[in-house]
Amino acid sequence: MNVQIHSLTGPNCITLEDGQIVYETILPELKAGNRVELDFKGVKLFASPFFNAAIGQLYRDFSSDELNRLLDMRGLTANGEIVLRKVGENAKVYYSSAKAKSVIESVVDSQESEDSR
Amino acid sequence: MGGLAKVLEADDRPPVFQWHTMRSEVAASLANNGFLRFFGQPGKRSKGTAAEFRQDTLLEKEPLVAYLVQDWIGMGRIKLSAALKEAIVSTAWEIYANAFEHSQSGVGVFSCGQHYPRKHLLELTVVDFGCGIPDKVRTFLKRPAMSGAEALQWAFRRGTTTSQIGIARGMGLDLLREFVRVNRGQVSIFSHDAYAIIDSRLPQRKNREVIYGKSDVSFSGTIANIVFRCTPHYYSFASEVSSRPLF
Repeated sequence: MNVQIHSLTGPNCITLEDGQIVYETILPELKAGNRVELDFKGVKLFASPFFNAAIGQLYRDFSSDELNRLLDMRGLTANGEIVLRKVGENAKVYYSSAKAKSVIESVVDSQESEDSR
Repeated sequence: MGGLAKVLEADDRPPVFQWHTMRSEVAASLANNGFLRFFGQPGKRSKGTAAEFRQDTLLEKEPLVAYLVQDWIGMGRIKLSAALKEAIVSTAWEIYANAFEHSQSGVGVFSCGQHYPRKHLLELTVVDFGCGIPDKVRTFLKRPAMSGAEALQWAFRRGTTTSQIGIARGMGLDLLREFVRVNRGQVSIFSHDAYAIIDSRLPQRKNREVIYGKSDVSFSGTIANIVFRCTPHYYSFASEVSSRPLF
């Protein structure tokens, strides 16, 4: 799948709302194991709210290895790449701690229901 | 001042400006940045070194980006590389995004800017009259006794956010700090009784740190003032691009 980002967002990839549109466009493809190419040709401006929604959320369901294998980013500016890397580092920590929290909570819940029997 | 006037207006207590008492140089300056016109006064706006005083009640990307690119950076025919221009506008956008996300300000966000051609500096001030960063952090962390400076320190940490929408956030202030470092600029944030200042002109070791403190004067919203150097020499983000895998 090839996605021309400019046609979805215009020249500025800076808002959470635009990021969410991109996320919802590519998620089903990635979940099906298909490669996705995001082409940023014509995009001039990038900011973290966009990447938080478009890419950061993917760490909820995919590992770094999976994303490196399935996602191809084309035409990012140098600044865009720097913002994306920082968002990615933050998202890895955020979603891994969210997963750990969820595992701990389910263990505690099951322990409590065991105890109450 | 313009923002305060709008807050009073919204509260049905419109202030009265004694315009005739202004010194001529003050009036000229307020005409240049459109402040007089904003309040319905005569005064021709000049496309000199001042970016227009404006009020934004919504975070709308196209008009705000146009303002930053054409009016703020565009003034004075500043010569910037495309990469530096993008980094400056992108970082300024992060400030607006933060102001709109956190302030819950009924009157919106006010901003104005200035170019100092001889010093090669570009300044932008963004003010909101919302609940302020310390209050938002204290409520989120359920720590009412937390000092304003501690709350700002928490907000500046990478990845911290008061947003509860389930998406990793909290990169805006971190990106701002990082860009100010490579650009050797300055950022000052005042909110409630606290401030956070990054000044890259300080001696080595100090210049990478954020200085937090308690202000003598308390302001219920948030004031963000940024100063960027607009010479390519002070920009090295591109050299920091890594060859490591992206994700």
